[in-house]
Amino acid sequence: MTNEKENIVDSSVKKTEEERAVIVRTLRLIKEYKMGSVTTQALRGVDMIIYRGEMIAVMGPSGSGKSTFFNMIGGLDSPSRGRVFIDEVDVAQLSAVELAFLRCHKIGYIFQSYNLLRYMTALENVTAPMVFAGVVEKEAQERGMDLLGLVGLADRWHHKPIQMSGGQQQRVAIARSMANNPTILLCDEPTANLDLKTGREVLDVLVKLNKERHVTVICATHDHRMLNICDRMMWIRDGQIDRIKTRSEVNIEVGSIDGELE
Amino acid sequence: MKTDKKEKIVIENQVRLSTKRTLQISINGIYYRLFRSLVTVAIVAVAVAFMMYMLANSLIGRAVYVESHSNAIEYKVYERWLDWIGPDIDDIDIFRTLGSSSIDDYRVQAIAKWGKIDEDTLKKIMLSAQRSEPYFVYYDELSPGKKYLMAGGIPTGEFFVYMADKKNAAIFKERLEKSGGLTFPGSFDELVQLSNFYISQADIWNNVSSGRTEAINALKAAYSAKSFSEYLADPTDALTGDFIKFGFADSNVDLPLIYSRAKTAKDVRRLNDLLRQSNFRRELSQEMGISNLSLDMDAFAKFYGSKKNQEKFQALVKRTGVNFSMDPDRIEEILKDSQLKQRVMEVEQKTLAYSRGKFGFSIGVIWLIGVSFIVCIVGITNAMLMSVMERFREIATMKCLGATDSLVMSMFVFESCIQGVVGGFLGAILALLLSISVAMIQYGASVLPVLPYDDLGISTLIAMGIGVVLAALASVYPAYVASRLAPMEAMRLE
Repeated sequence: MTNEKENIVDSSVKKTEEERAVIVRTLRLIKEYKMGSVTTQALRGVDMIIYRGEMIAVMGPSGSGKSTFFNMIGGLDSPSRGRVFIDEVDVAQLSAVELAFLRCHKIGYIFQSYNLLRYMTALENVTAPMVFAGVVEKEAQERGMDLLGLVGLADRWHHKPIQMSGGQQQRVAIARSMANNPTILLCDEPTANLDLKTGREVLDVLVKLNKERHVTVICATHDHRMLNICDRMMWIRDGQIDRIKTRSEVNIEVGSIDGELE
Repeated sequence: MKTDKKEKIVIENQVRLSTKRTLQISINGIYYRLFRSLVTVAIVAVAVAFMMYMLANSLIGRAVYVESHSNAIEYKVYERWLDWIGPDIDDIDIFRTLGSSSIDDYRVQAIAKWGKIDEDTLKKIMLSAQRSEPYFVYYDELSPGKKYLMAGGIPTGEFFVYMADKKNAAIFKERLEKSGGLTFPGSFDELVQLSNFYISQADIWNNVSSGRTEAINALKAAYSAKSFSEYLADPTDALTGDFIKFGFADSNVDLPLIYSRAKTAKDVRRLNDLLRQSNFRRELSQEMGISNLSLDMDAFAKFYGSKKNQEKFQALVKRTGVNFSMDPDRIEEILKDSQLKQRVMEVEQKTLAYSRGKFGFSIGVIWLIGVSFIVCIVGITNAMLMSVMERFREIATMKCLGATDSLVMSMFVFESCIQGVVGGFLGAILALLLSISVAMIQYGASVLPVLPYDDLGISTLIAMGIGVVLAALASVYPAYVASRLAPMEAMRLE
């Protein structure tokens, strides 16, 4: 890691949150996609530190590599080069079953297209990760109902995804992501498919989780409402970190960056 | 900040679910996608059913052929025997009779007597005749086109005479070599040698021919000028004795059966003659309510089925005053018999394709079974590949939620095995019922006791097994690939 990059990261946070522990650290992260003879670099050496309990937005135009970055730190895709550490554990060193454990217990995922299992009811979707974790059925159902209550959908537990609106589906997905009480919540454009009102509801739930349960929320997003919510924002452009700002810094400069966000 | 969130992340191995739990999840999965699963099961069932139907159909065909062939032989005994005593036997028939009978057969003994052949010569000729038989069968089974090309289209009876000619033999040899693929029984040289042997025994054939004619003439003299069939229908002990004396039968020949068939044939002929008399025919067809032209034995047999119609028929005979008297029950009996005979012959003809070749099936039938097998493989593979590949996103999602590779794999293996078993079972049973029903329609309900239940049972198991194994194989590979990919890569594949 270069000192220069570390300084950028540190200078933005150190002053206020000095004792915060690092939860995700990436080191010279590179991802290449081969399309026949052409090699495209989606990530071109990303160094990043994310602290425990913070809410961070990863922003950038489409094709900038933010989804790729998101997949790398979630252990959903393997980097071509470079490393991802989650709480000082090198993800690349994990075996398949350890990766499954990580995804099951420590990270919750929220996707732009919800990715609910469409044949299952809301409750069954929420309890699926518990089933994979070997939780007994009764306990899983109780916890599942609690989580549905948390996102305000307890009365819709028996509905299939197709019977619910986009916002409701996304809230089910959030409840599911919290199934095994993860430390990190990874959200890939959680509000992109939603209208303003339902998007707001989803964001509220995310904030609630961050504030009340102290989950580290990492959001890849286009949504400018994130500006008011997130502790920090990180811009990716052409597979590299463009800049990282704290909320207070952004609020001051809000006029100048608004155009860039839309 | 809650204390538990400050804990260091400790990575363990993901728990391994028990087989029972995995099976439960798989069954739940099938239940969730019941309709889609049923579609897959249906495709597997149809593919297995297609193959099973072809297989069962062929097995049933073969069994029915064997049965109807042995029944037909009973009906044919009379005609064959009549041939042996008739004028159409020529030298090659004698030769082939020697090749296909044992030495104590009455025909062989008679031939030896007629031809004044001593025992050593007889044995020599019989051996050559036995060796010649495959060549006759070979030539017999050639297509008319091939016969024409290779031997100028001469009938089987003249084959050896033709081949004994050096020029002809040379042409035959050339064409045989060119045709390549034909399976020739034995060697060309042996064929020529046997042909020459046959020609060289011309004296013996002449002796046999004249000896046989003498014997027939002696028989004819004893029984006036009437045809044998008349005597056969009303036999005496003297007749039986004479047949044996002149070399046309021995105690092994079922003469009573021949007599009874001759009697039936005579009665059928009499009935036929009656139906042909124009006056009576006109009256009867009016009585039956059908056109004059469509009155035949079949129609009459149908009409004669009821007691009321039998009385009508008898009344008509009396009214028209035709010269015909036969017991009503006897009429019913011979009508039934002639229908049964017709039926047996028909069934034998229909199932001829299942009578020869490998496993008793002709080349055409083996092709059909082979093609149905390929269709089955392609159908099942396609169905299973589709059902796995359309779920790559689901696999990816499950992996995001913490499903291990082995869990994903086991789920797909269980699921496809269940689908394969159900589909294979349904398909095989369906095809079995269908093929039995078709056989009953085709050959009549009397086919039921003839069916090869053992073979059908084994082939049902084979068809089911193929269904299960193919279903499992075709889904395991893509599931294996998908389960080992990183979730995002699996999603990209979709």
